[in-house]
Amino acid sequence: MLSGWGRAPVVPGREVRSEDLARATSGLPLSRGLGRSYGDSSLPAHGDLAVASTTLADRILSFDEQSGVLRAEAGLALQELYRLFLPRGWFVPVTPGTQFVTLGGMVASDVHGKNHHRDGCFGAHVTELVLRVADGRIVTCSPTVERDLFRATVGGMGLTGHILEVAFRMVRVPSPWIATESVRVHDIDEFIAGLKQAGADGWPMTMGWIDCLSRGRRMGRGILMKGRWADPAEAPRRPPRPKRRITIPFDFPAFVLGPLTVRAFNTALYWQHLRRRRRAIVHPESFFYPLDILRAWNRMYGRRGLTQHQCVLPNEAGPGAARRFLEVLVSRGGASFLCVIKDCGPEGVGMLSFPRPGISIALDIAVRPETQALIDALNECVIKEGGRIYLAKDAFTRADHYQAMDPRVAEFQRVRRLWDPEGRLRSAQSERLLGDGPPREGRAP
Amino acid sequence: VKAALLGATKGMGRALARQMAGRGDAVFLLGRDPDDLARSARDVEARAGRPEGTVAAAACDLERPETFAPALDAAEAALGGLDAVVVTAGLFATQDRLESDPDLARRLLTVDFANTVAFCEEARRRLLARGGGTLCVFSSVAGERGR
Repeated sequence: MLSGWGRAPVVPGREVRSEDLARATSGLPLSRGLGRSYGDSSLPAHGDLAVASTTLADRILSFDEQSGVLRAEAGLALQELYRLFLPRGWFVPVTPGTQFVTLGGMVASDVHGKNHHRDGCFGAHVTELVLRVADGRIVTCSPTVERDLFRATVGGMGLTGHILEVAFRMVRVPSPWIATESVRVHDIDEFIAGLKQAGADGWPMTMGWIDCLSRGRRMGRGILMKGRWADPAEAPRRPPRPKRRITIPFDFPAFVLGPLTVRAFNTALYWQHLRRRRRAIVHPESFFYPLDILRAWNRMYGRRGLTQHQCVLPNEAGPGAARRFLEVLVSRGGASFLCVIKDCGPEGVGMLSFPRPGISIALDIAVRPETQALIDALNECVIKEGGRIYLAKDAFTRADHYQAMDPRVAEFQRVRRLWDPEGRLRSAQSERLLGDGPPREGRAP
Repeated sequence: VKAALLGATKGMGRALARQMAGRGDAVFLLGRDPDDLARSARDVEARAGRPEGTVAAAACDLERPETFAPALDAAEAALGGLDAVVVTAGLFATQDRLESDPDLARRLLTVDFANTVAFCEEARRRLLARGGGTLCVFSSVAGERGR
C-alpha cells in the first residue's frame, strides 16, 4: 500500500527501486521520491500498481564552484545537499519546509519557500532537466531547449516524464546561521501589511504563523517571522550541530488534535511570544525545517491522516480576501493545528506552478468525515477570490473546482499530450483532477 | 587508507565509497560499466569536496576473471599501492528462479564464490607484497541458506 505524507488516501501499490532510474522507470506510469507530497500526487492511478522510486538514484554528477551549478540524479535528497554543502558556504536557492524531499520532487512540485517574494520558485533556478518521456526516449530540456516541455515539467507533478537528472544553481551564503526577527501581530490585516512591509524592507525570507481559531477583530492574529543569512561577524563561530530527532512512535488517538487541543496550542503559541518584537540568531534547521525534528509527525493526526489545504489569494482580490477565507474556515468549524501564511512574488516559469503575486495560506487539517465539505467550501472561496491551490498538498479538491481555478490547465494538457499522446503517464491525482483514464493503446512500452 | 572497492557504483559499495572518501581515505572504484563508474567517481568527489578527476575508476567484472589483474594494477598505480580491497559486488536471485534455471544457479555460484575467490587471490598477492592489508568481502545470510 502507498500513501503520501498525509496518509490519506492509501492506495494499493508498490515502489520499484533501483539505482538505475532510466531502467527502473521503463513501463511505469509515475515516479515517486520520498513521498512527502501530502495527497495523491505520488500515488498510482487505478489499475497502476507500481511506481518508480527515485531515492536510490542519488548521485551528485557535477558541481561547479564558479557558477554554483550542481547536477544530480533526481533522487538526491535535499537533506544531503544541506548536510554536504551548507558547511562549505552553499545552499539551495529555494527550500520547502522539509529537507526530506528529492530534487525530482522539488522540480515536479516547483517548490517555494520563505523567500518566494524575492527569489521565486525552485524552477526559476533550474538550468536543465533530463527526462524519460512516455515513449521511452531520454530527452534534455531547459529554459531554451524544448522549452514547452521544460515549462510543463516544472510544477507538472511528474506527468510529463520521469525526471532523471536536475541541474540548478546553488547560492553562496555568508554563514550557516540565520538572523531572525519575529513580531506579534494582532489581526490578519496587520499581518498582510507586515509581510508586504518586511519584503519591502529587504528581508529575504518572511512567513508567519496564524492562530486560525481566533475570531472577530482578532481574526488572523499570530507571529510574523523574518529572516536572513547571518553575517559571519554576528554568527556563532561553531558550525550548527545536526538536530537530534524524536520519532512519534504510534498513531495518536483522534482526540489529541481535536478542536480543544488545537485551540489551546494556538493560544499558547501566541502568548508565549510575550515581547512584541524578538531578535535572535537561530539554527538553520529550526528556521527552515522546524517540523523535521519530529520524525513521522504525521502520526499525530491519527490513523485517518491529515490533509493540507494551501491556496494563494491574489493581490487583485484586495486585502480583505484573506479575512474572508479565514471566515469560511472558522464558520465551518475547521480546526487547523498549524496555519502558515506567506507572501508570494511573481508567477513561476512552470505552466502549473502554484504561486502568483498574493498571499498564500496553508492549513493542516485532520481528516474527518466532514473534511470533503470543508475543502469544498474553502475552494469555492478560493475560486471567488481568483486564487488557486497547491497540487503538492492536495487530496480532496474536485476536478471542476480545480479547473475553474486554473485556466493554465488547457495549455499544460496540450503540451503533455504532445509528449504522451497515449496517456501513459498518470497519477491518482491526475485521474482525479484532470480526468486521466487508462492509457489509450495498452500500457507503457 | 588506500582502498579499492569492487561494486562501488551501487548499494553498500556506493555508500562505503562515500563514507571512506568523506573521512579522507583514497578510494579507487571498480565496477562493470565505465560510464556508471565515471558518474559514481564524480559523486564521491563532489560529496567529499575534492576536485574533479581526483577519484579514479576502472572496469572490473566478476564474470570476467581476465579483468581482475588489470583493474587492480590500475588501482595500485592510481593510489600508489593498496591498503585495503573491498568486495560488495555479486549476483542475487530468488530461490524460485535458481531452482527453475540451472544455468542461472551455475552463473551465480561462479560469480559469488569461484570468481570472488579468484579476485581475492589477486588482491591477496598485492596486499602481501606490501606487507599486509585488509581484504573485506561482503556476504549475506542468503549465502548461508541451502539455496
